[in-house]
Amino acid sequence: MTAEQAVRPEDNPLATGLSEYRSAAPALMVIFGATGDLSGRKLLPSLYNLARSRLLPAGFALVGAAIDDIGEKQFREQAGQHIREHSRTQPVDEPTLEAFLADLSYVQVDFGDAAGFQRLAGKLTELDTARHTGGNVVFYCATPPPTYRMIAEQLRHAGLNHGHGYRRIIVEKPFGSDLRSARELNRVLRRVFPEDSIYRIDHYLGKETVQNIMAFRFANSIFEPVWNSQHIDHVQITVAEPLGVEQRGAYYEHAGALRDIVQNHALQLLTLVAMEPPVALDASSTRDEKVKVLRAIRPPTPAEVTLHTVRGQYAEGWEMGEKVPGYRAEPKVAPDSKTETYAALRCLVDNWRWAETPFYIRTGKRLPKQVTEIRVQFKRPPHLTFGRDATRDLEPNAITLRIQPEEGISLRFGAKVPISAMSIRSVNMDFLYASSFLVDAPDAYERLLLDCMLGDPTLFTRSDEVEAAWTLIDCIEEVWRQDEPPLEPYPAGTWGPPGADRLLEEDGRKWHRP
Amino acid sequence: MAPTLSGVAPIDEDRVRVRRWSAKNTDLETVMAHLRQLHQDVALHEIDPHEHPHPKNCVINLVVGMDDLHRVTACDKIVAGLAASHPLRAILIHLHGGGGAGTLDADITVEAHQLLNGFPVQREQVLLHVRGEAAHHLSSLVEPLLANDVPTYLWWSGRHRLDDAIVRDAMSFSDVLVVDSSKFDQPIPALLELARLVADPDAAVGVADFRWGRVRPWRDAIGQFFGPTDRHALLAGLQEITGEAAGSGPDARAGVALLAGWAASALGWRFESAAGAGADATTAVAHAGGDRRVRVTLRSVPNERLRHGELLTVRLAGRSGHRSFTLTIERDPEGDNHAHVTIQLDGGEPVRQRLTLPRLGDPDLLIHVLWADPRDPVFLGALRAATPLLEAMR
Repeated sequence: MTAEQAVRPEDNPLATGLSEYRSAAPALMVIFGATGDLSGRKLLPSLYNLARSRLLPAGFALVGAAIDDIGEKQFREQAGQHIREHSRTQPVDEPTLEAFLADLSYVQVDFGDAAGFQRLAGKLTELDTARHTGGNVVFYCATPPPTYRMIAEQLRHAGLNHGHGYRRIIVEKPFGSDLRSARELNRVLRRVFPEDSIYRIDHYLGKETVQNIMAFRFANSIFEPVWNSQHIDHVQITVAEPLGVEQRGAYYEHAGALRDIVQNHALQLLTLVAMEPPVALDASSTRDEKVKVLRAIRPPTPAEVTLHTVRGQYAEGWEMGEKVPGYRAEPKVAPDSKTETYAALRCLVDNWRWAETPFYIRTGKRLPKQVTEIRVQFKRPPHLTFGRDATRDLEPNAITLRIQPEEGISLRFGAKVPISAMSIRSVNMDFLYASSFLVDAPDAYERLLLDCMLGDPTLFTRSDEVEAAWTLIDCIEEVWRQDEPPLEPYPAGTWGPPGADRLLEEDGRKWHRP
Repeated sequence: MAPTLSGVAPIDEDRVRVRRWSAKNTDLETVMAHLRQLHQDVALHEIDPHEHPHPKNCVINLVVGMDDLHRVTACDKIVAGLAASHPLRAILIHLHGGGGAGTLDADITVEAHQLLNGFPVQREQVLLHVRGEAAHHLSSLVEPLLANDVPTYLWWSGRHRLDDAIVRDAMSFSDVLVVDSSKFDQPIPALLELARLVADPDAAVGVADFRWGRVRPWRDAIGQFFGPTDRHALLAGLQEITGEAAGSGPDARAGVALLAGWAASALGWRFESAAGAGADATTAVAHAGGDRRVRVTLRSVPNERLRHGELLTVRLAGRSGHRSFTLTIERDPEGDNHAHVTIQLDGGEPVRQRLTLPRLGDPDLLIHVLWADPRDPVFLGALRAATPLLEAMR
């Protein structure tokens, strides 16, 4: 091999074999809402951890932008406190933190005032020259969704949406509150940035275990042949959390479980389980397949919404040994609130692979424990060779993909009970991420922030995905607004309202207890 | 992200069950019987009477060979730490160890514990002190103890040369041979022996060297510099590599030689000449295609704060078309886990960066080996390419 062959301009042979190697071009990042909760708890600690892992490019600098009248010194001090408190890796590496904080700047910006964006533009020009960042800038909107439009417009007026490097914008979910508002948001953002520069972040997709769903399905030849309606009886997706709404009552009153979790996290999990193998693991191929699934979900008629969905709201109860108030007694929640804190639904994916195989989704607050999992339940064997008595304790095969908290995969199958003549019982074979890999997995935000700097949108949500998901959710919301099906209370610390059990019982099934 | 022992979840001390057995002057059949029994005791003790035992997914066999009593304690601790979250069967062999008259002394530890986050983990560890003729036939002792159907790593933690018959025998049951060439009595001949081993197309085992693991953070930093698309072309303009390592004499420079070998292998260079330049330097010229040449200078620099052979500084410089560049990575003079990176591009203001450059200990290096490609073609290429430099240091 000659040097000419080895050193191709589009290649970096020195990166070969560096399994952690992901090298982004030098760039600047602006965080709008830099003094807020998301920035302090997630973004700043994630960027620090990228620096600690040697994954931030030399020259990288961060500009905090927010309305607070604080100086650069105070912003750095606050950032340091947040990182020390919330960093995934503890204790923090002081020299790295010190160097990271030294690269932070702060610009006071009122999102409604053009002057602040002009100051920001001046700061970015100054940093770009000093740090050789090639005009590359990522804008992160860590602000409430109603501000996205204003920020995008201001960036356009200040001429910050284009330059000699790349310009990308990251927005947080929820992407709109219904199909109409999502389309409007997409329209506004696309007027300022091209679609491939808009990164809609749903941090769920950055989790290693979520990405592992694709690895599990498409890197193993033994599962894919049985991954269809011929062999699979149904799929259950559970996203449960023990917490109540905490301080998010005002937001939650307008969102509810359906918009807050089902529209994004739960439907994303469904698409990953149901999608066809993409031709390649690139952004277009993967997202094309996910959109196909979302479009194949049968939109329920109003009658079907009444029959196949369940709305619940937690009442007073006991959670982890403590008495907790009901939803209507939470701060900033109306005493007669009709907002659902629990949602369950039955979806059908109308395509060749999944015809008539139900996907049951449930999510709720104040459920007994935090768990996110996908349970794929297989059909019973067509003939009971061992007789009914021998298989009395045998449940159908099932594969459980556990997303959190105990990331892993388990397979349930039947095994003969020792000594007995022929008695068969279900046993589990478990794969646990933590015990099989000694990798200190990065936080989802670390992965996604770096992906954005690298220009890889695979794990971000595309506009047509967002709109397809809202199309389904709007069908349901429209009926729910007419109080159908009726909102059912459930005591905090239980697995949801009785209607959720009935939903499956009517199909001759029951929820898996995680 | 790099695997580290610090990432291992803490153990719930209330949920640890340990069974031990030990015997002097015993035999392998007895050892195996007790290992089976202890495994079953722990598995059954962990569960309710109506449950089935939780399966323990043993992911590797780790065989550790030692010829030094001091290493027994150190390796025992490393393996126990590793097993805190990594189910494995560890077989520690202490050659010519123990004081009994017979062939074998044995200690077995079987431990099941729950991590604080609920993961059940089990480790099985057998320490054998082997004496007499049996020490020359390790495979006959180890093979029956291996868990089925999982890869076997042999960590040769001794000072013996690799061509020693004992090591050769031990390699017969291994999928991967792990060494720390810096710990051998004669590190440079040992590295050359490794190079010969990996050059053998019939070699059945993968080879890993902790020394290569220590170089990894430096490779990361250099690879990152050339990462942006507009810097790829600079690779073809590299003119000079200088590497400095702590210590004196040629042994100290083995790590930087490996780093230079890596660059040569990745970029398709061939060393045309390599020679000693005094006791503390080796210089070489690599042919990089056409009429291009790259100067390589490796130096040993006395340093009281760092371990012998630790990398101190790497500097790369070159010119491609109208562009010029210099990348300098200097380990923090205080010897902590950081480096100062200085990038000078096209004569502009230098960009400086503080970089974490961890000094990896044996546990981290072992984890990395277990985690990485067991037949790492980049390492094998680097070792092969570094051979002329190593020969010049011999």
